[in-house]
Parts: sequence; structure tokens; C-alpha cells
Amino acid sequence: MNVRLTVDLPYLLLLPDGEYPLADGPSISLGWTLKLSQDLDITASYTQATTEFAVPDDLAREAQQARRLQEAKKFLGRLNQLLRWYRAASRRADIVELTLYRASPFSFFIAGTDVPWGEEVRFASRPSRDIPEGVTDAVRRGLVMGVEPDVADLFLLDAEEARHTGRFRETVLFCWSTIDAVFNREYDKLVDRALANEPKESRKFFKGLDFGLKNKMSAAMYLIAGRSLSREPDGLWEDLSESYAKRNSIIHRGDVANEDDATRAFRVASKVVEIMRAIAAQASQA
Amino acid sequence: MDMDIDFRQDPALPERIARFYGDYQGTYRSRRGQVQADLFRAGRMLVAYIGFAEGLDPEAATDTYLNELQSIAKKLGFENKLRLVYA
Repeated sequence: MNVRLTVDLPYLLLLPDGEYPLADGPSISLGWTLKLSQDLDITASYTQATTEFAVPDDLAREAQQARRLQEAKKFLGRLNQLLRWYRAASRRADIVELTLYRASPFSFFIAGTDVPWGEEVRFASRPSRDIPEGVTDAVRRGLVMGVEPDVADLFLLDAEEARHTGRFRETVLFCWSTIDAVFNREYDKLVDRALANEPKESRKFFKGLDFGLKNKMSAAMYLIAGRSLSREPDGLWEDLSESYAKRNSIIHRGDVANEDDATRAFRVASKVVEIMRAIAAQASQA
Repeated sequence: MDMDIDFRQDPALPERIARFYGDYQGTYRSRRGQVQADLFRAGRMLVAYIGFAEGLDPEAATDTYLNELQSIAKKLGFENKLRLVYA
């Protein structure tokens, strides 16, 4: 039996209706869709994406559901490839890849009919229990004070989103933007504090580009804060060095990145932010 | 509730979370703990937010849970009004 899987995109893609074959896997079918009110007013206009896959007729209920989850994720991967191409070819920066949550619901029908094949599959934006405490207070305080969230938090969220949507090269670059911004900001403060009585030129040398990021992170950090990133546990320095090399190869040679590169960069950036915040908190209490 | 279905109020679920999703009805756990679902009444629907044990791909879960959730929905008066949302 063949099953039709459909997703209503949050976009109206200016592409002719029809089949869009892929190198791997079944093709994607696109169609312009209108939603009408009872008075036949147009309430929404968007592109519906469809694909088909074959399933055994005698699949048990739980196995059917597992298959629906699996096919939804596979289809989203292919849809996002199509969106990447559409974005690049149409120069539409506002067309971004979808998460499982944004693409939900995924609807399944027996092919050639409107008979549902099981229930729609919906994904949550995050686990239901994973709501950090203090959100309301933080939002209210930030708005009243008229300040912006820490750039480290925003960059890391961008990186996380990029990783989840398969944009691994962007993930690495977001992570290194975070590391550059957070490390240099706190490092410069530490240099100014530790070497306050030294000549200005000396401090400038320690903070300058010629001194090199890895020298700052290791030897200089040990001298001014007693904590070198090269001595951190769990292979942070090796991960950091490898990720730094990947960052440079992307920027200077247009290299690509894979999921492991993205995961490593995210791990390194999160750890560097954690360490630099801890050092900053200690320094401010001293 | 059927004896073999683990569905009960979870004191570990913070009240602030229960408030976000609707009227908290209880938490279901599958036989071997692979699947957990927090159930909330939202309007006329019963919404089950389903999570899987850490490191377990939803597609790889072998515990059954669909019939059990349907059974819970029926007993709570939400027959054919159950919505599944995967985390």
C-alpha cells in the first residue's frame, strides 16, 4: 500500500505545481493551496508539499506510528533541501528551513484517497517539562530596563537552531562568533584588571590580534586568571583546537561542515561561555 | 484506571508548567519506561505531550503506548478527542 504524506508550508513558494525529483529518495510534489472561509473569502494561501511511501498492508498499530514519525523526519530533511535551493535561487532571505514543530502537523492518507492513514503527527517546540524557571521575570526585567539579551545567549540559540535544521556550517560560525565575542570581552577585562599597573602598551600587546587567540586562551589566561583553557578536563583543548581549524577552513577555503563538526563547535562554545562567565563572576566578587 | 496502565498525578511536574499547557490530568508511563506522556485538557481535546527515554529514538521505541493513551482518553471522557504531540 502507498501512503501520501502532506505538509502545509508556512510559505507560498513561487514555483509551478508539480513533481520535484531528488537525487535520493522519493520526489516532492508541490501544490498551491487556498484556505477559504465559509463566505468563500481567502483566509490563507500557501504551498502544500506531498510525498508518497510504501508500507506493508499488515503493519501493526505501534509500528505504523513509528513509521509515521520516521517518514515525517525523512520528509522534513528533503523539504529543507528544497527550501535551501529555493532560498538561494529566489534570493528570498526570509525563507528559512523548518523545524519539526514549524512543519507540523504531518498528515497521512492512503494514496489516491482522502482516507487518513492514522492520525496526524505533531511535534512540540520543546519537551513539555523543559521550561526554564524565571522566564517571566527575565522578560519583564529586560523590557523595563531597556537592555538587550546577552549576545552569547542569542548566538548560541542561533547555533542550536542551525544545528537542528542541518545548517552545520552556520552552526560552526555562530559558535565561533560566540566564542570570539564572549572570550575577548571577558579576557580584555581580565587583562586590564590584572595588569592595571603595567604600561598601557603591555596591556595592548596582550589584548592585540598579533598575540593570537590560542595564546590568550592558554598561557595568558593562566597568568591573569589562573585558569588556562588548555588545562580544562574532558578534552576541551583538543576539541577547541579542532573546531578552530574547522572554523578557519570554512572562512578561508569555503570548506563544508558535518554534524560532528557542528556538535563539537556547540560543545566548545557552551563550555567557553560557562568558563568565562564563572571567571567573570569570581573576578567581580574579588 | 486499568491496573496495568501507569497513569497518575506526577508531583514532580511543576505547577507553572501545568498552567501553560491547560488542565493537567496526569502522567502516563509505558511498561518499561521508554515512553512518558503528560496529559492536559485543552478545550474539548485531551493533549498528550509525549517524550521518549533519553537517547531513545521515537522510531525505535518498543513499548506500546497508543492503545494505553486511547484507553486513558476514553476513561477521562475524551474518546476520539486525543491529540498526540511529540517532544
